Amino acid sequence: MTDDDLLAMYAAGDRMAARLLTDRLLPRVLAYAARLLGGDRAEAEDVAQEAMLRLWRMAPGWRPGEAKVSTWLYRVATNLCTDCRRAAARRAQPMGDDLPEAEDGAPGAEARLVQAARAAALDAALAALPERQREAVVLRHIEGLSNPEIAEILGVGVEAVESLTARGKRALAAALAPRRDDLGYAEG
Amino acid sequence: MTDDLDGFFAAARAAGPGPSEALAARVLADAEAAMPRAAVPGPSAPPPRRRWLAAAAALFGGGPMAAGLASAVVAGVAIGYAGPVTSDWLAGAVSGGAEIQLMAASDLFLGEG
Repeated sequence: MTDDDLLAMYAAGDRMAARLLTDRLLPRVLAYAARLLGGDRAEAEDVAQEAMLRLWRMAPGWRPGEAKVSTWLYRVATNLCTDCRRAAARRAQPMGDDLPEAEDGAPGAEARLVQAARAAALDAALAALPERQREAVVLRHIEGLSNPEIAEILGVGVEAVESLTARGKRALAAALAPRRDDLGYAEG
Repeated sequence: MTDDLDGFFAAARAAGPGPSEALAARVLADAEAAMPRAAVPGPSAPPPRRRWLAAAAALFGGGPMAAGLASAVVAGVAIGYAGPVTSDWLAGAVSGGAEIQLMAASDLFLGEG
């Protein structure tokens, strides 16, 4: 069942459709907002809730097939995050150096620690990117959207998306290169 | 190093807790509140009374008086519309066609000037 189907069912009064859409879309929009907002969980939750509320309100007038529901939601979240960043003073980004502690010596614990460290380092490097590059890189390489979808979300052309992601990746690579040894790439 | 980015992206996709139950509950509460009213079945409410019309009728003595007033208005309009013909005929019958002067032809207003 597609998001379009579920949205139509919600508009017709189906509460279960609202629950299924929430299960599908809320984790994605929350994670996306958290990355755009530099890991500010509280702000990201507010953005995610507001984006979902706009989805509910828009449901009766939704025209299936014109756009993907998820694409529409990412666009709303992008704009809300932009509003947040403009409204709030720049916050410190403590995520990069706060590596989680290993809780036990069980097999795989070290691998999980490395994974968490990589994710934290990437978030810190993403936070240092220009806004549009960060949005494009996250949508392309973490959310897994296509370039045309990203172009629709950001309101730019596909070539601009390609340029944004390429420049963003180069900047990320440069920022993360000094931490190769810390993050498990020394031996590879 | 750009090849290594795939490992970072994969780690990022796997990292991060999902939405809390509290957030999911807030989102579902919003969904409930925003659900289109037409889709929510409920007892059919009677249409609201047109209170202004009842109040206006009561002001003039209730329904019968309002009906009488309406009839008088209609009759007045009809008489007014046919009035000139009727009054000419009536004037001719009374005066026999002679002109009646209600006032003398004297200069009422120029008498002192």
